[in-house]
Amino acid sequence: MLITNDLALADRVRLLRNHGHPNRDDCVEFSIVSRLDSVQAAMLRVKLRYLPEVTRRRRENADCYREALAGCPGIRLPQERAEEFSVYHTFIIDCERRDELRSHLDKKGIGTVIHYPIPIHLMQVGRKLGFKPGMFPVAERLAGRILSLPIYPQITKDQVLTISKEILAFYS
Amino acid sequence: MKVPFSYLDRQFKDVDAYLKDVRELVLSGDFTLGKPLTEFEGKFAKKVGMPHAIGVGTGTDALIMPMKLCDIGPGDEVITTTMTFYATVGAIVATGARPVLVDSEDGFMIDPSKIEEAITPKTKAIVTVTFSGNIPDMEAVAKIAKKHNLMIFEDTCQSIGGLLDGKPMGSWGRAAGYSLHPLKNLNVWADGGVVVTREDELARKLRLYRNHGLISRDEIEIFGINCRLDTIQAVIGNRLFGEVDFITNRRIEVAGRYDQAWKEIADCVAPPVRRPGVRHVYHLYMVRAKKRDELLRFLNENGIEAKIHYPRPMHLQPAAKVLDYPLGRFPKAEQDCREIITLPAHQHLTDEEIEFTIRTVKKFYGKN
Repeated sequence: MLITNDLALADRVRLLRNHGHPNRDDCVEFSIVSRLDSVQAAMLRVKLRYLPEVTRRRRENADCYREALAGCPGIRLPQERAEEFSVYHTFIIDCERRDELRSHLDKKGIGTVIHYPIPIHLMQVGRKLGFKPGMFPVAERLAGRILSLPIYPQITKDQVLTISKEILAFYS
Repeated sequence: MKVPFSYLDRQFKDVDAYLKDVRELVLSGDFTLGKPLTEFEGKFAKKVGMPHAIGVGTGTDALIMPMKLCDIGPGDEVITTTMTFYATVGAIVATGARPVLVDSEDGFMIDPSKIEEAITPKTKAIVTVTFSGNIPDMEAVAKIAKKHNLMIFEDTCQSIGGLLDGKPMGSWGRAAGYSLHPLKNLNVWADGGVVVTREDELARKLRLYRNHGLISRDEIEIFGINCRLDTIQAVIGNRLFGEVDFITNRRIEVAGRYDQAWKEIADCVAPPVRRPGVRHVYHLYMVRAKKRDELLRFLNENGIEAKIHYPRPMHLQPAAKVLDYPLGRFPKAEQDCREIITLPAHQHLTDEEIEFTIRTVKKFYGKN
């Protein structure tokens, strides 16, 4: 989904996503075809009704983590600035002994993922472009420290508290 | 009587079996790539007789992606026919290359005898098009390509099931691109495309390229795009495989009935030359007709949803202004675009509807 305030750009995208033809018989600009499926749109039309609730639940889970993990040593939690409204697609914490924490949680049946362990400039593709270790120290350092906790709307407050308890136990 | 061009309401009248399959997929959560897509690709490769089939977003993507991976880009020229759908030219433009057009021959296919004069030092490839489901003279094109060291890419969007001298599409080019669009012979419920190729390494690269270039969750081998055939659509496609032979065979049968009927009014309606060795799958049943515009109106008024594919060749499209081809540059295609008409010839037409269409055409010419 592309969103814009620019009406001319919107018109152009509508044209270009559909072969560049404004009607069946004319093509005003040779283009690609990249339309959102109507089948998917039909489903999304229904899902859209649930989006506010999904966002509310994710934000609630984030607040719950922040409360339960306040003051926990070894970790830093995502913070919202006053002007920010995060929808928490992910809830990424910055933590010491990340891999150990991850396997501790895994043993307790708590799934986590890393978004992402290797910054692009350190992948083969990035090195081919001439990037080297040490060029982006913040990203490189964080790549070894970040961990995404479960934040999806379906987990309960109790589960968030259990996860938090295990994290606290790990660092205490 | 109404003779509709689209058959989707008839084809999917009993939708429950499909929805049952979709339900199963939703419950599995296997939404990207996944088992149904692997199954679909295997079936598709087998059906069209090629070792590799890679599901991608659209038929247009199925042309763009192999061209890009074979290093076609800005500064290159790619030759194709002016008698095609916009997407062929759009795909070439999307790679950054300049499309160079040539005229078509009697079967609405690229005219091999016009290709050499379009070749320049910048020419890198030829895109052949199986427009309508007919197949160009690939042996002649391949000879020219070999002589000038050019690649061939086959736009086979309209010819699922097509064969030339028993050989499958993709036999002449580095890859062939198929479309699964709702009005194609194997049609899913949205856009969809498949690339087929004999080349192992190109197939491997295509699988990476369509999926961000990912070789594992955490690393990419190349910078790719996200252009996968939708798994829901693969589910629909898997169920449709049971119908493909019926679809193809019935279309060929309907076309044969029409061709036969026009013999009695050969001075008014003429099918293009039917080259031996071509398994034409009649995605579109196109003929040349006298007083075409009046015939079209007459058929439409009588409930027969005839259409024109297309009233203007590519070089006369507003989009082609930058390519600077004058009117008259490709006389065969220009003439054909004034004479062609497409009659409903899909697999769900009844014998009565076919007879009615034939009678109505004959009636228009006062010959019944």
